[in-house]
Amino acid sequence: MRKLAAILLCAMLLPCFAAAEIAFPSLPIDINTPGHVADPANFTATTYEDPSISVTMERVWVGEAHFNVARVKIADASQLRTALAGPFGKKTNRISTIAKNNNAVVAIGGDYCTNEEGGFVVRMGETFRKKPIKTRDMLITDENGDFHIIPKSDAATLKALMDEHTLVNVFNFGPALVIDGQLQEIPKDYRYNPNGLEPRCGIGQVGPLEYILVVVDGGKDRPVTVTNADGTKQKSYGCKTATLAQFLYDQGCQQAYNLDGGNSALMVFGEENFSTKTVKSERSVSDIIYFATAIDFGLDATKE
Amino acid sequence: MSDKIKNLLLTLLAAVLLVGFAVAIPSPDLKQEAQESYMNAGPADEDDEYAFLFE
Repeated sequence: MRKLAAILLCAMLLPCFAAAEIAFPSLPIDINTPGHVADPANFTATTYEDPSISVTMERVWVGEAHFNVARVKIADASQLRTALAGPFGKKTNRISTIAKNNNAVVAIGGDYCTNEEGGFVVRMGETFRKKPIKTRDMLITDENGDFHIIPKSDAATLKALMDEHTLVNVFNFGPALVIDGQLQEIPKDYRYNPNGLEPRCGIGQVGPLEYILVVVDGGKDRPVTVTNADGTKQKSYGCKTATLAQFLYDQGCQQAYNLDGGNSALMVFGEENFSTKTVKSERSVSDIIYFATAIDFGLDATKE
Repeated sequence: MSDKIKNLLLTLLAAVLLVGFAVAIPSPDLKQEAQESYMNAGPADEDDEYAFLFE
């Protein structure tokens, strides 16, 4: 009887211990605060794993386009983060440098928000510009790390969303690739050559706190040579925005959005460029999207 | 004109040029002021459908 009672007690307490294990203090929602430094021991060539974040990196070919894919699961919405190269509007830098400065486990470029005068720019809860672009679709991340895509930056939809949620990040690039599980048609007249073969960058949300990042190497006018895992070499010619949309839809994204591609398209994993572009040939941009660990491994001081 | 006077004039000229450049280059504080002013400027007109962003 005592044994049975002990087993029952343990069974009752187990979920409490498990819950204690997966509860992490949220990272500050602050554009100037980086994530914690990830433990180097948790990296392999294609994965990062700790109790707060899981990242799996893949490289796949879709026709003649080389897709760099990051699958990310986080424990807390604050681990989905954005960073600026410096004070808003005053500085640009390489994505790899901004990622390193912010202790990103994995990072891609954002919408290069300082490259144009328009846009409702919000980063880590701070508003930098209030000028929505009606010809652009808007991506919003909220306090739960959920994505909301507003076609044509519709004012009424935006207002309704602001009444229900806290806007943590707002991007003004697009177009929308997937909305509420529906594959979107890509408007022919959307900016930045959606129907051309170009380097691409996209982000999607698969489910709660689960995301996919994609960077496509090369373009028709700027093919890049990729060395495959088996040592063979192949040229990547980029892809149309519709191809990126179809890929993210096929991966099960409920929401997916096109970000600044072209010469800005780059994916960083750890402190290395995972996509093909070298650090030397990187374009300097204003902002990135990244994921960070929520665990303080006691390594933060080593980076200061 | 003696060398001493020439040197003095050249030094003065260099100082004036330095001050001129320093004044001509906008300081970060001015840019920040402009940014804040832009943020708080409000909608272009009352019918602006995004006016709620400034409430």
